[in-house]
This record gives sequence, C-alpha cells and structure tokens, in this order.
Amino acid sequence: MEEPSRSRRGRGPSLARRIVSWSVPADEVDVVLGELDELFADKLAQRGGGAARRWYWRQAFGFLWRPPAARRDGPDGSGEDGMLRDLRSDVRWAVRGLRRRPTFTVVAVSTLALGIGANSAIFTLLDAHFFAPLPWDRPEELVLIWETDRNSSEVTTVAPGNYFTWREETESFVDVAAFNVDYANVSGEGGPAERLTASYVSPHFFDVLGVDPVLGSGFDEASVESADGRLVVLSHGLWTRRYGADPSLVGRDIRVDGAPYTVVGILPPDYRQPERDLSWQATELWRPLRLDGRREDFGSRWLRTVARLAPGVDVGRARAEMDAVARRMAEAYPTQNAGRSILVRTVDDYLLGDARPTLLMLLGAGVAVFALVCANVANLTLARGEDRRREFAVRAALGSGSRRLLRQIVVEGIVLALAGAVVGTVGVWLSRDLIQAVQSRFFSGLVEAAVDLRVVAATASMALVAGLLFGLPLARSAARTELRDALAEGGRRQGRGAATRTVRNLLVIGQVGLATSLVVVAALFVRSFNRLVDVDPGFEARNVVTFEITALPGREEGDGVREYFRETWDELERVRGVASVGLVSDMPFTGENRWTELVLPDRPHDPMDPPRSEYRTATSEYFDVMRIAVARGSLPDSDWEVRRPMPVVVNRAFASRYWPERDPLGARFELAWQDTLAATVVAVVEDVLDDGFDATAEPIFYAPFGALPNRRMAFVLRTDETSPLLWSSIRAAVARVDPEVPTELRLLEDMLDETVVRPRAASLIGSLFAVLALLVAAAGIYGVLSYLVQSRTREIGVRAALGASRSQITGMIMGESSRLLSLGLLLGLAGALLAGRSLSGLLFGVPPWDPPSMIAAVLLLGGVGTLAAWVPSRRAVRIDPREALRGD
Amino acid sequence: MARATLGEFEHQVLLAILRLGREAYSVSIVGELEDRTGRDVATAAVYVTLRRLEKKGLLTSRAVAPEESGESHARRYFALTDAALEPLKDSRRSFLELWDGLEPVLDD
Repeated sequence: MEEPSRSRRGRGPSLARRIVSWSVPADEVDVVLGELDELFADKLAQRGGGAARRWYWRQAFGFLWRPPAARRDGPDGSGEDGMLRDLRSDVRWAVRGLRRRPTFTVVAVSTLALGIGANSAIFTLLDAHFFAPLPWDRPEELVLIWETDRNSSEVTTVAPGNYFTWREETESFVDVAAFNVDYANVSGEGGPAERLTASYVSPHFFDVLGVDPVLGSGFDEASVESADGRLVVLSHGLWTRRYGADPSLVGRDIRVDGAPYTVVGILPPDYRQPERDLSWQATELWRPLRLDGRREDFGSRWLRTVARLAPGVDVGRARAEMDAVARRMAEAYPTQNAGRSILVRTVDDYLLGDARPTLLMLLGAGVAVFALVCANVANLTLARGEDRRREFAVRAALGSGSRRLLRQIVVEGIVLALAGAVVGTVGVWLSRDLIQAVQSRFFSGLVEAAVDLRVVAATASMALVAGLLFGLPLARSAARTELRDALAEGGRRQGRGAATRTVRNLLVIGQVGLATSLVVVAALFVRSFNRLVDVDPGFEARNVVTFEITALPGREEGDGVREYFRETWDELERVRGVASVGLVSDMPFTGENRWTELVLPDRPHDPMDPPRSEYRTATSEYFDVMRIAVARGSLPDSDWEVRRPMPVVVNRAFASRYWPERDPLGARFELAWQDTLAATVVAVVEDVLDDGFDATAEPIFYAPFGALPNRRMAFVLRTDETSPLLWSSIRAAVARVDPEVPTELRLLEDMLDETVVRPRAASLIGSLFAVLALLVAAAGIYGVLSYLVQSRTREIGVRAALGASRSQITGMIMGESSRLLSLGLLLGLAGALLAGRSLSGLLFGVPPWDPPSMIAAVLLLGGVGTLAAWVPSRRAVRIDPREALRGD
Repeated sequence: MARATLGEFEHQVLLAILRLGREAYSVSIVGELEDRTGRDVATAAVYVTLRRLEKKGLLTSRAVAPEESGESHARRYFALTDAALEPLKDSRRSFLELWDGLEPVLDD
C-alpha cells in the first residue's frame, strides 16, 4: 500500500529531502527542494509512487555525492568550511578510486567484512556474558553458598541446620534464602497436565533477590503458615501460556501435584532463577519451603542458598567469615560437619563463569582473525600503493601538502573499513537468530545475546582501527616517495622500496604465524572433542528413551508409591516396541546426585573423613536397559518388596575403595541415617560415567526400589526404534495409570550430546576460524608473491635472457616464499604453545603441546602456502625476456 | 591558453537552455534533457554543471521568488551569455567535421 503522507502534494520522502538540504548551500535549499518536488510530481504522475520515490532517493544521493556547494565557493573560500569540504572530497576521491579497482575493493571489503562480522558475532556473545546485567536487583551483591568436602573438594548442597546457622549467626549478609530444584505437575484448568521445573523457596527468597511480582505478592511467613504452605507463585511465561494472562488468577486455586494451591503472585517476565540447570529449562512455579523441625538437621544436604551481601561487604570478607563459621560448626557438630567447608561464589561467577573460558578463547580467535584480515588488507593496500607512487608524487609536486596526502590515504583506509563494517554488520544482523541459538544452546539460556547498538558501535570502532592500521603502512611508504624517483622509474619500482618490502614480508610472516596458531588451537579442540566423545561411558545410550515422573498425592509414600510405579512399569512392559523397562531414581546427566555417609563394620569410623557414597534407587532391569555390565554376583531377583538387610548392587569404584583386599560379595554396610539401614552387597557392576564424559567414576551403590522407594523416579526404556507412534503409546501407558501425571520423553543420546555442547562449540567455532585464517593467510602469501613477480618482471626477464633455467626461476620465487613460510610457521608454533597453555583447562585428553596438532598445522599451512606461491612462480617462468626488457 | 572547451554534458545542458529560451530553469532543463536523450538525468549533475557554466561565465541566472512568479516555490532561471556561443559553435563544428564522411558507417 502507498503511504499517502510521503507523496502528499508531490513531495519527496522527508529523509531524502533532508539529505538534499544538508548537501546544498543554505541560500539554495528552497530553490533546489522546490524544483525537485516539481520533478517528483512529474515522476509520480508518470511512473507511480514507488518509482518516483526511488528516483527521489537517487537524486538525493546524487546531491550528497556531488554537492553543488563544493563547486560554488568563491575565491575567498566562502560557502563551506574548508576542512569539511576537503574531507568530503577525500571521501569522494577514495570511493572513486575504490570503484576503479573492483577486484581489489571486493577482496578487501569481503575479507574485512568476514573479520569484522566474526568479531561482532563474538562480541555479541561476550556482551551477553560479561556486560549484560543479570536479571536481578543489584546482582553484584548476590552470592550463592554451598558446602564443600575438604578432602574431595566436592561441592554439595546445604543441610537445613547449616542454613539456619548461616542465616542467624553471620554478619556478612543482609539475608540468606534457601531454595531447591524440583518438579511439579500442573493439571486441571488451562490445558492438559504438564510437568514443570519448580522450586521450593524460603518465604523471603524473592526479597533477597529483590524481585517484585508484577501481580499479587511473594510469600510471607504468616500467610504461608495460615495456608499450610498451599500457596504458589507462577512465572510470567506459565501465567501467559497456560492461563491466558488472566489477572483474576491471583487469589484463585490451581491444581499442583493433584492438590489445590492458591496463586498469590506472578513474577515479571524477565525473572530468572539463580540456577543453571543442564537442560536450561526455566523454573516456572514456586512453592513455600517449610523447614519446621529441621533446625537440627545437619545430615541431609538438599538446599541451595542465595544471599545478599551486606552494604560494604565484599565476597572476600564474606568468605573469611564463612570459613570461621565452618570451623565453629565442625567443632559443634563433628559427626556431620567435620572436614566440611563453605564455598561462596557470586551469582555472576557461578552462572556465567563456566562459559567464559570458551568465550575468551573465541575472543582470542576472533582477534587473531581480525589481525590477520588487517594485515592482509594492509598488504593489498601497500601493493596498490606501489602502483600509486606516481600518482602521489605528482599530487605532491602539484602542491598537495604531505599532511593532505596522508589524510587522503587514511581516509581511503577508513572508507574501506567502514564498507567492510557495514557488510559485516548486515551479515551479523541477518544471522542474529543463529547467534541467539548458539548462545542458548552452547552457553547459557540465562542471558540473551542481542545484536544491539553497542555491537554496531564496537564494529564501527573496529573498522576505524582497521582503517588506521592498514592506512598507515601506505602512508609511510607514500611519505618516502620522491617525485624525481617515482617519475624516473616510470611508475615501476625496481630494486627500490626495500623498506616497503620488509614491511610487507613482516606482514606475511605475521599472517602465517597467526594462521598457524589458530590452526593448532582448532586442531587441539577438535582432537579434544573427539577424545571426549570417544570415552566409553560404560553404558549404551542408543535407542534408550527416558522420562521422569512424580507420583501424585495419595501414592507418594510406602506401598502406595511402590504400587504406582509397579502398575506403570507393567503398562510400559506391554507397549509394543519397548524391549525392556528399568526404573532409576535419578536420570543420568541431570547432575542430581544423592550422597550418604556409610558405616562400614570392618573399618574404624573417622569423623574427619567418613566413608561416603553416591546412591541411587534402581530396579535390576535398569542395568539391562542401560547395558551396564555385571562384573560379579547376580542382581537382586525382586525389586519391589521391602527386604532387610536390603540387597544392594555396588559399582567397581565402590568395591575397590572400601574392600580393596577382599571379596565384596556378601559384604555388609550401613547407611548413617536416623534409622540405620543395613545393606548387603549382592553384585558388582562396571563403573559408568553418567555425570559427563570428563567425570571420574565415584563410588555408588544401587538400592532396590522396594527398599528405598522414591516418589520421583525416572523410567528408562530400551526400544526397538524410536518413532512418534511409540512415544505416544508410552505416554498413553503412563496416563492409563494416572491421567494427571505428565510425561516428557527424551532420548538418552540427546542428553549425552548436551553434556558436550561446549566442547563441541569450541571445536566447531575454532575450526571455522582456522579455515578463515587459512584462507586469509593464503590470500596474503599469494598477493605478496604475485606482486613480487610483477615488480621483478624485468629482473626475471634479464635472468632468463642470461640463461637461467625455468627451475632456477621457480626456485627463486619458491625460495622467497619458503623463507616467509618457515619464519611464520615457527612464530605460529611458538604462539600456539603460549595460547595452548592458557587453554589447557578447556582441553580433554590432549596436552597443549600435542604433536599431531602441531604437525597437522605445519603440513596444512605449508601446503596451502606452497600452493599460493606456486601460481605466481608459474607466472614468473612464463615471463618472456623480450617483453620484459622492452618495458622501458 | 585556448578558448574554453566544453564537456559533452555541458554541451547538452547549454543546448537545452537554448531550446527552452526564457523558460530555462533546472526542472525544465532536466525534462528537456531526458526527453531529447531518452535517459534519466541526475538532477545533482545538472546543478553542478549549471554552477560550473555560470562560474565560467557562460551562463547568467536570476532567482525568482514565489510571490513574483506565482509558483509554489522559488525558481532560478538561466540564460546563455554571449561568451557561450563561441564554444558551442566550436564544439558543433568539431563534431560535424569529425563526422564528415562517416555517415555510411551509421547506415549499418
């Protein structure tokens, strides 16, 4: 549709009119605009609105391009400021020059666009991780506090007793709040039953974070007490998605885990839980955490805690105080707190810290590619500058001051760089969805990577730096030009300009060096990634479907929960396409581990280092579904009954830690719980790495489901194939037992993949940069040698005339290139060693000095470099001595 | 130095002004050039050329305010000076001489 306002009364687009009025002298504006409008009205009548507006824009750019003002000044220089006029003519001159050399311009602009584009993309990610504010009030004051084990330095969640002590007996914090990671089934109003990531939070949790609900309120002690905890706060997303953003929802009841809960508040849309969870699923529902009667509980560690630092207290001081608290607690409660210390981390560090090394690596790679690009364009510009020595010499002789010439050169560089920046920014803008996807998939869903004005500004300043960087070598060389020499040479340089050549050679050496370093680093990441995914996790993930469900009230405990899972298990067994069904308390790769302290009868109890183990509840079929090999003994034959002592399965790490000398089968131990629970080892299974490929196997025992039932369990199903039909049959089977229980199916293979996303990102993006670097470096070598051949045509001709053989000429050119190449390679390997040392934390199973990576880089760069040199050397061989000598 | 010579576009602009007589202002000049040459003409190029020709003394101009002309905006009218006729004649003559005898080439 036409926009009537723009063409009303035959006037051109207002922005275009403004451009025209900037471009013509003030006293002419009315005339010019009036006359353009008149012409515009004609075009409008002849060709229609769209064409007329395009015509107007062309005219406007015509005025900008050739402002009549520039031609109109009198002898006194009136009309326009001299500086601005010079600048405008410099820009015009530069653009004209670039248009005259399309190949040079296209190569330079596209190389620059790649470099600047890649850098802006990285800057977008960095911006999100380093500078974008976290979505809480004064996030720099927020810290998360954990317990750690001094011996194993393992970080654990917090015992309620410790939380109370921290909250009440410390001075570093305004307040401390507790929360956990949980799940909730929402059913009834608003659609089918859903399983959500949820959290129990202490009533003042939202106050600590400084979050104000957009509707209603958070929790407060009194109302939590009077409602018996049946209150719920919802995320903005859930409120909008499920309840159509109905404001009257606040105050009403909804069904959560099969019971009515009153909605008291809706959080703002940008709220995020201070939790990184592997599946990056946002928490959507909060219930009040009640710790009545848990004040003395120092044994079960299941809370996460967040605290706000008191005014004027920094993390260092808070840590010092918590160290003292940990010592005090160890003395007061040696059984549970001996050997424990406390870890305080800022939310910023905790949530984003892990992604940062990878991002910094990317930044390093980006800067290296950018430097390469600049070196390359500088080289190209310099080569062109050689051709233009004559032009500059003449202009200098005709009275252009040397400052004016220098400025001209710098302006050319900047015009080039800005063109690259514009193209690069457009590229980044077009790939913004991709960048966001990379951000949320590889780094963190907590912050959003948005291409914004700051990124554009960063790109523009990079472009300016680039302009100066490669404008300067040319300026240097131009400043040396003597008219007499330039003209005497007939514009051709022979045997002179050694300094320029040195600069150019150094640039090529630098390029090869940077490219080598990048290729080595990329090779390290690729090899590290391959090592990582080649690790045998000890189980077979193919064709395993898994999902977690929570038994609803009424069947949460004892026989009820046993029956519920038994019935569901029976239903699942009958689904066609499901080969076997297993049950386990914690899905692999969720990072949720349960630990318990043990009492081993044949070992003295050391309170400073009590025997501990991870544990899970599982059925015997779990090992079969996961293809976890049984090393010794046999699995318990019945999983569903309560048996004392309970028959447990231990892994190899457990057996070798606690019974290195004797046969573990038949060994007994006790769980150090309030009601001591005895266990007998009936089987030993192989270790599995289900916390990630780079984890080490910890001691673990598997208790039969019947003995230690849990209301939240994960099913693992080995299937013949995975099809949508099968998935819906599985859902239907679960729903037959309880239609209110939602299921969210996942492939174990996908979960496995998620554990290696960051190494994958590092290897993918690293390789991308390496390829870029390789191309740019090859272009650099090619450019320098081509120019070398061209400028030495005469010399080569003379040599050929004097009888130099083809192979001698080839050797001369290739010799030059191999000198540059080998210096660059040496430099690059040294750089890679330096870079590798700082990257070693990101590598798995590959040392930073990994010889295969180095050799691969040398071969690759050497090969590509030789190829790039070979083409100009062929040209040198074909030089006809007669042609070459006739040149003068 | 010899008499001022004309560029191709300057030549065209001067001819357009001659053809338009008293009605020569930039809009009509652009229109005349587009009609006669069949090509789009950049307004800015016409402005620049008019200024240059004026500076060379080949044109004079006068601004007419809207109140005076009854138009919706101010206009600047151009007229050739006597000095313009000589280079025009020169250009024409050199073209015609160069073309002399080449007419058969055009028939192909």
